[in-house]
Amino acid sequence: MIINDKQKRIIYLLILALGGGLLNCTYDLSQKPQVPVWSILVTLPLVDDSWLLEEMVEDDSSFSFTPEGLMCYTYQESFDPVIFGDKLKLYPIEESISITLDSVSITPPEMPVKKIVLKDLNYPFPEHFNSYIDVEPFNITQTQQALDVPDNFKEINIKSAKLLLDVINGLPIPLGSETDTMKVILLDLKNKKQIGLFKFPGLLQPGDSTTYQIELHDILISNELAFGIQAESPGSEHSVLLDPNAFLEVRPVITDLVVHHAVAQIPDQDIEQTGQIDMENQSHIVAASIQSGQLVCKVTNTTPLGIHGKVSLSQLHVNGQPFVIDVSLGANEVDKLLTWDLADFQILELNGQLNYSIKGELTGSTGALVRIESTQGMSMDIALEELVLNYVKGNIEPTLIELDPIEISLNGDDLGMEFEGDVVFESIDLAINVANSSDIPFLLNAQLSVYDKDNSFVSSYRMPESLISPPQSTIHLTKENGFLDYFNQLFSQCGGLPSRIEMVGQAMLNPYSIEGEIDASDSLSGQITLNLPMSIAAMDLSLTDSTALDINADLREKTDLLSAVQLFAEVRNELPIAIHFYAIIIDSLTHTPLIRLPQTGMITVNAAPAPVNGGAESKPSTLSCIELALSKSEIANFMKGNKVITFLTVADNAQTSPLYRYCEVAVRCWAEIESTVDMDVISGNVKEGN
Amino acid sequence: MKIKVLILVTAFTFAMANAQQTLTLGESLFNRPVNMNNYTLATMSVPMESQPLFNAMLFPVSLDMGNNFADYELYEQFFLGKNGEGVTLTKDDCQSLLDRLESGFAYLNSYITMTLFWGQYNLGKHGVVGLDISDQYCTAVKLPDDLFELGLEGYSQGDTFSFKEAQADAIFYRRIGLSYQRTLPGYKGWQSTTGLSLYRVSGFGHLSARGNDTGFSVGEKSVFIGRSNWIIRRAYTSALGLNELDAANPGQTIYPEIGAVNTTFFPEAAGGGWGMDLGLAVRKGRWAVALALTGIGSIQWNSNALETRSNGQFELTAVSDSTQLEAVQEAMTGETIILDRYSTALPMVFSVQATYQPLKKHPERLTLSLGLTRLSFGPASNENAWTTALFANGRVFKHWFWRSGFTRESIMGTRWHAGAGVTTKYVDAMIQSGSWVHLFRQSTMKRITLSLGLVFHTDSKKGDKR
Repeated sequence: MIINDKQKRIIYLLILALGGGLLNCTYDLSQKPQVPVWSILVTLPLVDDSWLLEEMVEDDSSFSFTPEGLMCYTYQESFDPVIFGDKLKLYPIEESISITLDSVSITPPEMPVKKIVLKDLNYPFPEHFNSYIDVEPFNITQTQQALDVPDNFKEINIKSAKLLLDVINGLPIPLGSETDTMKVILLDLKNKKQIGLFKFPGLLQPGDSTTYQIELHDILISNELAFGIQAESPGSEHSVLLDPNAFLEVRPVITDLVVHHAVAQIPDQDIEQTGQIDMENQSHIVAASIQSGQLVCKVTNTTPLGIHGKVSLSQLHVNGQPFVIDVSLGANEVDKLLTWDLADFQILELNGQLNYSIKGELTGSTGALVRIESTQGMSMDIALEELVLNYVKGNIEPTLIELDPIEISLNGDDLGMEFEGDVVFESIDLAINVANSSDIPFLLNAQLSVYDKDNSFVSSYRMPESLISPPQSTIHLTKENGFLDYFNQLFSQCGGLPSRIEMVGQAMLNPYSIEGEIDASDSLSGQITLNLPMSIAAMDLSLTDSTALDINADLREKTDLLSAVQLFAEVRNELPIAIHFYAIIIDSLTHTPLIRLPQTGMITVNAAPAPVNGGAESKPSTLSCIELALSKSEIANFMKGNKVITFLTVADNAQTSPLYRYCEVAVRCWAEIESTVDMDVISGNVKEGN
Repeated sequence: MKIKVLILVTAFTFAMANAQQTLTLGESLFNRPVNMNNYTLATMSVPMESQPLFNAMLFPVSLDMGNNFADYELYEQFFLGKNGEGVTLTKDDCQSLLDRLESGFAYLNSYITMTLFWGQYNLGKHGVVGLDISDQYCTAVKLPDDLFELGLEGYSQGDTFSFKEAQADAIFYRRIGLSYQRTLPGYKGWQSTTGLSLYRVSGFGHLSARGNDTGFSVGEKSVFIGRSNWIIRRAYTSALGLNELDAANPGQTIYPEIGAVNTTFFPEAAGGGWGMDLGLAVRKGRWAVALALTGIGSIQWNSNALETRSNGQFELTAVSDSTQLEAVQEAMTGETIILDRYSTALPMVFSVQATYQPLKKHPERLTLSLGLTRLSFGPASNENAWTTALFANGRVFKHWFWRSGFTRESIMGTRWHAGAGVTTKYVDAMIQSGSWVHLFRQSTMKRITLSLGLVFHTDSKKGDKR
């Protein structure tokens, strides 16, 4: 390649220019770059605490608000149903029933017919016998004639009886007169006494008969009987054949015999008695079914004879039929015990009396003479015990039922968690809503037993007697019935809500005796709702919160990076009470306070005006701010701090103010920091604090 | 309380850091100064007198890198330190730094082309065929001034910061292409030449980050209200030594672990695709018009293909509230998912250029050209990214040629370029730079633009006339 001079000059010129340029270069690539340092201003939110009642409620179903916006602690707890189950009981029915022989009709002994011939009647003219004559008036003197009494009895102590005497005049002459009576005397020869005197008024013509009845009372008769006759005869009107064997027939008959005792042959015979057992419980039970219970009978036979008896309880049914007790007793058998399980029995139309009917068959003595007394018979101690009913329909007599304890657990931490100090409630409503699945009202008579967190009994509160009408009723325990005072005292005593409330007591079933139905599966169930409007007489009320402010350990040593730190705090108060505020930054490890804001005293945040409509429409608030520029030493302390604690206390402890839905206290703290940005520090594992 | 500041700064830049860790390729730059690079057959070039029989080039380099705000003066003033310590910036210093961001953002980009081999063979009337193997690195980062303001001045109540303009793109790939160029039959004095390159693309790394709708404001009482809506998609060769996949739990990601970098000329590809360049030049007399469209194609990334996406909002009212801080961190760090594959377009360049040779007797001594170029890559795609170039070039003293001109683009402004070369019987050498001026005024240097080439060829005079 050939280069001419011109080209050379141009080349040299270019090389010169390039060289000059290169010589002019002052790029210093040998020096190690250094990252510059500069300052920036940053602001950091440190604390954002707020206590908004509404939010508290959102987070906790235990709080609600009244329609007026007043905050209300609400606790609702259902309690386990108290099922009547085996609590439907009937008072025991006990009765002694006896049936004695005096009510037994014993067959009277058959008295023989006695024929008294003329010649035995002391006729004064025996010579006229067998001749026709006109008989003159004459007197029949009393004569004693023994009766041939059969041997089917030995003696009878008659309590009462009717003794009939039929007299048939078989004589050819009339007896008696218009003015006189014929007298027949029945005599007990053995006991030497007169049993009865029969007076037959008027004239008894030949061939005629007459009857006379006397009543016997309390007389002992033996089987050695006789009678005598005393009568006048007007004589015959004409001649008659005076047959000495003509006779006067006397026929005694005993009826309606009731004996005190007897020694006699006793035939088979029935005894029967009906009656009622008066019940202590005067319920009118239209129908009921028995869940459990038993019928106990103790039967005694005081007679020397066997008895087969049937006792019918017509209001007690089993399998659709009236219940009949079938019992056989031997002679003089004592205290025979019989029991029946009454499960699944029914009771129908029981109205304060249990009807019974006894039918007994007394086995006869089969010819033997036995001594039997009127007081003898059959006795029965009958008892319906432990009667538990499944179902009752009717007008049940007021009955006391013991309730199983109803337990209500309260989470005591719900309330008091946010507040420290004494809290006094100005109103309360503990609503006990009870559902009664039967259609019979109850009168609840119970008390609340309260237990603290350690499950120790604290105190009890006697609830007013309350009617629980079906289907449901609500009992309100409020200020009016003294519950508020009790609760405030309790809250103070427990330092919050108690942990458990137990409702124990009794329920009076059907206190007003109305007709209805109740089943064993019926129950009392429901829930307890505690509404505590949060009107707080704030005495030592305080709100406290602490937030971690962790600063990386490496950065703690870099306090020189911070050239200025200014802390700000702003407190917004919507509570209608004035509050005090201060905050401290501490070293939580040593619990050493490092920075206090303000440095001394507290910020007072005035009370906010009362909210309009509970704060829904207008939510006035008051605001207080404070700022603090930190010194170098304080900046170093600030860097050491790892926890910010904010304190709010109520300024005016005499003031009582309600808490409304939208009431809020908000605390904001922030810092404005002028910091040096040193990339070496930044790249040196600066760690996020939190 | 500095740590509290850093929490926020770190949170906002976390995603970026994440991406940066995945892109150690950031040191590799890719430059494709289309206004002068005519090594690709399909790219418009000023025709030479004759085409040699054979051209070959080894390891030519073309680079263009810099930014739109920081010059050497700034570096010297603030980053060289004093007495071995970093310079302490005053408020005014910080403000002067911010004042440099006239356009409202900082823009940093770099384009580097390293040709491993380039050669062409002249088939005479049948045209010219070529083979090229080249690595291309391209990065473009756009940072909103809010980010600088936050870092330099901090923040106070009432400030609002938006990072929606933040954007970063990087790609590193290798092309192995075959080219064909042919002069078409003339018609009434019109002569046209057309070229076509087809190439296989092996992708070694890709990053795309978008700030979307990310930002925060500082309200009263220092309450931070922010939103985080950004996305970072990347894929990279395993030779990078970076691991984000949890080997113990396939399908899960882990916090990035940086391992050993496998330095090799032939790293394992993270994706592949095909590309095509098209070119057409029409000449009549001393006038010529040329069109070129290069980088038509795409790469499908399928190795270490990950996407981190964040879409959340946060409110920080107290740094002592760990729940809020966790929410901030959660909103900022986003969620990373493993992608089976995703595709990206190649950096595409469209150029149109008109040339005129005013010297009738020796037209090769002076050629004037006016060109328009548009690069579709990264943030530039969203800007008015046309580059206007006005150049003159020519041959002097038979064996020397020169080139000089100006380019102007919206972001980087106007620059002067100049280059020179020498051609001999078998070797051509050339150099061009847009940074000559900084030899004399180094303080204003924001960019470095340099192209070097050494071409071996047969005797061009024995080549076919086209």
